[in-house]
Amino acid sequence: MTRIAHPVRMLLLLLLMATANICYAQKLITGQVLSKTDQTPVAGATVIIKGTKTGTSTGLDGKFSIKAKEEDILVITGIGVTKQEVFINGKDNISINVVTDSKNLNEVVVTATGIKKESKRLAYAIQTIDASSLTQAREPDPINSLKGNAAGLAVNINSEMGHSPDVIMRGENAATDRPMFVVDGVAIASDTYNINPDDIESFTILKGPNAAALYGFQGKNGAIIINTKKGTKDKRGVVINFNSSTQMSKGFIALPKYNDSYGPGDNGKYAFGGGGSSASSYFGNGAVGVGVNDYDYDVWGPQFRGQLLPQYDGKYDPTQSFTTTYADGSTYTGHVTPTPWVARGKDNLKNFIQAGLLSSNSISVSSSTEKTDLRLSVGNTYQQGIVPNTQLNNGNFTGSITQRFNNKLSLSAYFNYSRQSSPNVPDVQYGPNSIIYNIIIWGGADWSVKDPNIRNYWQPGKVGLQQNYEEYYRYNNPWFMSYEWLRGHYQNNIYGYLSLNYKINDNFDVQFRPSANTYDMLNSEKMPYSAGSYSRPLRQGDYREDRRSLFESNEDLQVRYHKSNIAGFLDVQALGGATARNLNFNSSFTSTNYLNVPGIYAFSNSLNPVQATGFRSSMLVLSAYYSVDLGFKSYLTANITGRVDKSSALPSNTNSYYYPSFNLATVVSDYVSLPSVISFLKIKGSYATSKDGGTAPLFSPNLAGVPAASGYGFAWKSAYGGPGGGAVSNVYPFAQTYTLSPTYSAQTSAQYTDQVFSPDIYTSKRQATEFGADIRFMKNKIGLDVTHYHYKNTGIVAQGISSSSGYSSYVTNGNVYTNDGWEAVLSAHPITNPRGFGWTITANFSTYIRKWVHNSNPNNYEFNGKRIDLDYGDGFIRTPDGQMVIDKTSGLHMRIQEEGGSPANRIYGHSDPDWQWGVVNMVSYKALSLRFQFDGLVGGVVNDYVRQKTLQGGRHIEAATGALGAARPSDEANIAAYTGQGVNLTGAAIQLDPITGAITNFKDLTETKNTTKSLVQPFVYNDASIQDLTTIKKTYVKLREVTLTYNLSSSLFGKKGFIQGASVSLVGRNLLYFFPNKYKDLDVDQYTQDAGSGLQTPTTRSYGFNLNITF
Amino acid sequence: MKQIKNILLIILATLLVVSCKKQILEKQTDPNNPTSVPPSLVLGTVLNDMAGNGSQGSLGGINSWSNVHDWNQYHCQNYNYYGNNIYSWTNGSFDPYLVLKNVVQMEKEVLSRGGAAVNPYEAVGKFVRAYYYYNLTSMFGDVPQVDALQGAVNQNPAYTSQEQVFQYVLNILDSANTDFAALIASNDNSLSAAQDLYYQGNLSKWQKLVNSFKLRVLVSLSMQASDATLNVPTQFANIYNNPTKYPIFTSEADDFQLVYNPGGSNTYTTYPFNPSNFGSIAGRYNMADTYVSALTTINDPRVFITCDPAWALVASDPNPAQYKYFVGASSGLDLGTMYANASANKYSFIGRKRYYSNFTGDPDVLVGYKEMLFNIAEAMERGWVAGDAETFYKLGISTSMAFYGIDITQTNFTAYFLPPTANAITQVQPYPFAFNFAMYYAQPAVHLSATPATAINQIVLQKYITMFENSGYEAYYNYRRTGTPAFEGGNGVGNNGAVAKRWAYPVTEQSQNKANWSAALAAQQFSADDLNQTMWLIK
Repeated sequence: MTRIAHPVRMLLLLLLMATANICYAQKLITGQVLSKTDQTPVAGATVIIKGTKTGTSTGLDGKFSIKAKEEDILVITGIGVTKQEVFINGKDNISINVVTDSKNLNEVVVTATGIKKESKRLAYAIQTIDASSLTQAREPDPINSLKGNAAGLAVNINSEMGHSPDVIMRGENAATDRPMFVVDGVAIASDTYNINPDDIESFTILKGPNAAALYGFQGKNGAIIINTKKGTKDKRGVVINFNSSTQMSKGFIALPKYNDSYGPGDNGKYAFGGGGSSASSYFGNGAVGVGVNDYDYDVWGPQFRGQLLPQYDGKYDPTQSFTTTYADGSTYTGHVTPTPWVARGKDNLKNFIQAGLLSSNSISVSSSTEKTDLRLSVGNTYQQGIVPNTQLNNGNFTGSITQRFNNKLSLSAYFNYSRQSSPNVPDVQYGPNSIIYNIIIWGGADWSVKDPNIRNYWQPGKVGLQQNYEEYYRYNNPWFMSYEWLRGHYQNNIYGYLSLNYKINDNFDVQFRPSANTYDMLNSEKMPYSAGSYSRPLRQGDYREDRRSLFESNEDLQVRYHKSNIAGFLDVQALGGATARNLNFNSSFTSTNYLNVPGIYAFSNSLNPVQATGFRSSMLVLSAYYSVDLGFKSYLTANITGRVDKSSALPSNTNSYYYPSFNLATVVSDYVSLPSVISFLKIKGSYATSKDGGTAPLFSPNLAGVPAASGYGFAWKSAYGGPGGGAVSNVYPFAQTYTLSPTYSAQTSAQYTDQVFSPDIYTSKRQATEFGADIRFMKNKIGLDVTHYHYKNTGIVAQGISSSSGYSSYVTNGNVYTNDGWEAVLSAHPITNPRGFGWTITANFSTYIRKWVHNSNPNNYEFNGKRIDLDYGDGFIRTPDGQMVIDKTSGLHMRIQEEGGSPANRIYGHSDPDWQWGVVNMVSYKALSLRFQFDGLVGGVVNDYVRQKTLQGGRHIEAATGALGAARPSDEANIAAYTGQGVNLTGAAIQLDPITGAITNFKDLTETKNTTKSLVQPFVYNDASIQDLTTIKKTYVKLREVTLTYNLSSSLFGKKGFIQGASVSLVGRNLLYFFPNKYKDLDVDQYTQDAGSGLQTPTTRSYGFNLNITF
Repeated sequence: MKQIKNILLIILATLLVVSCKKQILEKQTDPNNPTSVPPSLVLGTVLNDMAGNGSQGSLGGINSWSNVHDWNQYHCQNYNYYGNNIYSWTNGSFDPYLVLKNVVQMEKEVLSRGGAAVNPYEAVGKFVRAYYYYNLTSMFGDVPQVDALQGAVNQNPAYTSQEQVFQYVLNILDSANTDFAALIASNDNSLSAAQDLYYQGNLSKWQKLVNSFKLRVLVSLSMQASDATLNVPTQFANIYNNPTKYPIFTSEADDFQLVYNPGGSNTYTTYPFNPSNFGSIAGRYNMADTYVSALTTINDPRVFITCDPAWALVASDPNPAQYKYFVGASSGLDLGTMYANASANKYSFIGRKRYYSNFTGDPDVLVGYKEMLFNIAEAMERGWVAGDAETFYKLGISTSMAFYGIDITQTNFTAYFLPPTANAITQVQPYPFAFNFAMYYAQPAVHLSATPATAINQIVLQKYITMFENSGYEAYYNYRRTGTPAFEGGNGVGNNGAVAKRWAYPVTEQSQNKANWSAALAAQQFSADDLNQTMWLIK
């Protein structure tokens, strides 16, 4: 990318040349300021020659250089540093140990583009989390560990294998509104599955655009900065660290509540008519559907009473006929010998699912010398899923090196290679391709997973051709799915950077940092003969490949200036930079159209022409930016930033845009005498704007990013659409194009876009204002950091227009909404006992409300002034006093949208939680430490899809207990026996308000208690057909983590021992789940803001141990 | 020296900036999709959309066994999980306009490639416009037409009165006829045969379609036959009396229909019911009483072909091919009861042999010859044209019977039903039955009445039977116009038990085109935008 340049960069170069010519005449003294307690460098300390105004400040490495005379005295001051004087005494190089002051806070945090700043100077919300406490109790994706640890950060942990979490900052959950991930100041557009947790030193969470303005639009939603470990040394010059962690997952914390009293079928009737050796399997020539409700059934069959019924385990004998007579008088005659109808498979799910395993091992070597810091690490995480024959290997190789060539020039390099591979990961999309769908939602207890005829999943004599199960149209044998229907996942992911730093003089640094991030991913699917999914009724197998590759590079040049104590009161830190970001994304999805030869998974084996789609996109963004920090003594710090982008993601007339930020912070306690209980008080405020072209910040290759649209288990769908996303359906929303796709007889035809766009479109933008205070009490024993923010977001939106214009949407600016939130972090050290007992608590809370200022697609429910997360939909009709209305003829609850031509909806609430919280406790006594964390949500609603579907399927416990359970056996005799609770309204047609669905002519109606009986199946079907009964509150509490660690002191291993230190931990994650709903069938963890849940694999507890040894 | 170096650097930088600018421009364009295509490719999409197979313009699914035919009361869905029989028309769709936008694009593509102003694509386009506007206005009432299809220029199209929309439809059909005539005369063969799934580029058939369709449109205006602007009877007579200028269908071979692919190597566009889904869905669709009764009350043997008997009624009778064993469920019945009865075999199901034995089923006729015969018969009864209505009526019946394999010159036939004890769809059994057309026609209910009002109802009833599972919403539109056959209401159809009279406009019109939407309601004297308002067409 040497082709890239920019006027700003040019100016900076010229500036550089000019300053390089300034000359100095005195003797140069160099030194380093270190903390007395832990020998860490102290950055930003002021070094002044006593009695003069000459001074400098220390760099990030604590180093400084200054022109001085041999007899001068240096005065070291700084935030959090106790003032200290040192005689130069003729030395050229001085190491100065300073005492850090407990009253002041000298935490140095890493901010945007890798700049370290004292937290005291920061005017915006930021939170730093030490990764060392997060590595004992493992998560497959290191970001999962952040759950509950940061105010305003939602980590929606996805418990499915290989799925990284949805990370959402401050409730901004649009696909294009996700925080970016940054490794050591370098953005990575892939996800974080590729990072070895053992390589992480700390996380810095920049919460808003104020913090990340310098990253450009990727940082619009804040950033999660991952600071990696660097070379360190001990007295031998080398440190070797080994970490091993083993965790088992077993024991469900949320499980659908199902009944084992009824088998498959419909209306209480079932008879198996085929399978076994009959002509049941359809290969284009046979027959299906000859039993009674034995295909694509629900679990609404007969009650298990041991009665004789033709079933899958009955012998098929075409020479004999068996007649079954049902309670309603109808009969079935078939050739399958009836066997007792009993619940053979009560615990199918528990018996099928196995203990999961998460095992990770990593080793690192690091050293540090005068010239060189070096660290290399290798790690591997092996994950075995709770679904049999699913696993994921995730290997990492990381290296980092810093070479200081001389006082002026240094070079750092970092790279990370990660390889993920799995021959089979489970499919969790709703459908016959999902194990949960097959076992719980639509599977009955009539068959047992332990039955050898089910376990041996091929039919005798038809190995490779025909699975053995008890249903042959819709569902699949779970063993067959696990061992034959394989979904491979292979991915190479590399990122790295080079950073060349040149110290021009005491005040100027220049840094050139090119970086790259690239991955290639292959997901493959081998669908065997006889496996069935939606849209593939012929069951003749398929092979599919989903390939994606990304290349992203960033070239960044930065010039930094810092000067302290200018005119005795002003500290300046400034930087200017230029970046070129180049991104290329390619994907393709290829599928056979059935297979010729069973078991040969190759495109050349396609029965019909191969289907393939692909997608390409690229983007180039050129940027220049600056940031200036001004410190007025210790009273006030001001920070001003600005950035200009030129992006190819927008039309030419709008693709250059500028966005600024202004930040102010002051430590009041430094100059105002406060009550002694308050030991520290900082007040901060900031304003920032960020702008972008509506592209997504992440191009995740992980499995969660395998969208339903890419068609896992489906027929002809297009490949992953790439970096577009968001409200605008087209990745290139400003192009009006045709889409080519197959029509009649696979002829390719063209369809013109349904979008038009505004010529006056401008970038989407976020204007953010933030205020906050950081107060510490009782000698900093208790600290409270409170932030309030206000966002005003203006998007690029597909505004619906009347389709009679010929187009259904108009791409323009709109969907303006505000997001107002509060975040609080409370940290306390109630006990710091000199005898070794300590207790620390960190608690965080956050809340936000998003409201429409201008909704571009308003309706009767969502309009300006209303919340944007409103959850509404069809509901049951209720009388003014809240009674459910039942139709007198059918005995079923009446739905609003069926009656009176009313399109009305019922408002269920809002899907954003009222607030989210987390509490982390650390208790230590001598070498023993205990960490435990609770977190949860309060408020918000979600539709429990698991319950809804299990109810519809008849498998839910509700459908077999209480009054429903008592009436249900009568379904078999076709006798309506269930009296629904509610009232009948007669006398006139019910009229409903077209918006609220409230009854408007109640006075004309006669209300009587319902006495009409209904069959149980239609009653429950009707009740579960809409979300009215299954929408629940999200409030939950989780005991997220418990870690008990024992640190073995190095003295145990002898003074000259090989082992320097070691620790062992007992760990547990996801241990307890408090969910005050009637049915604890959903782990709402991953649905923080969703209005509806998915079909979730039941989540499990995990526990194990961790061993860490340093050699 | 330094000066020169700086100048060079500046020049270099300028060059780089320029090259980047070019790169940015290049990356702005979508490399995946074309901005211009041959018109034939657009034609394929448009015609596929009309067949209900596309992503838009399906008019609510016009295929056999789709919701449309629940609403036509030919069959019922009894399985709540997958559907019901409710007239769920509270939020209609304007997406046919998106198809018409493709027509506009298709016309542009011809012209941009140097095509003549009169060309087969625009002529077909005129028919497509007529087809969709006819359906749009029949569904909703007033709809945008004059202001429509102008893109971003007019995002709030005003509604055009139904009368004017019909006038537009009739005019554009006339214009299409003129264009086709000219194109045929000049031997134009530029219409892509491969993309024309109906007529393979045969312009003569397109011309016949245009005029036959116009006959349908005119008959649909029977309640406004006296409208002075439209002059319905005259327009009908102009076509019927001048077959040279206005050729119309001469046989079923001219039908505008989608023929399903036979499966096997071509898995696109197979019949919605076929052996691969028999087991899963066959029990979930039973016949509707409106249709079955229409046949059984006149002892019509077509019921033996399109339906299987209700086996619970047959019991042990060895001869199931009797009208008394054919029973449909009322479309207004609640689904709980219907499903229980269906699973107890108390209803007739779809004829297994005809509709599940293969992947081709029956073609989906959009505009057909048989319907046209009945339309002509009706026009004669109404006195719009002179002629013997009975000839067309009888020809319509016999052609329809022949379509189902009932040759009216014969008397002995075989029905094929799947016995309840069968093990496979292939095990359908033959059941002989006798049928005499003369005796059938002699029935007072069938014999064309001398009273025009009665005769019209007889004609419409036979047309209803003929349009079984095809012709889109025609069965419903005709019921709405004539009351024949009487559609059944009740709990199962929603809307407080009443059969709907129209679709409500798309709910989005209330926010995206509010002023015009309100004005349209006022202009039509609708008290609300609901299913129970009476539009001009049926006043």
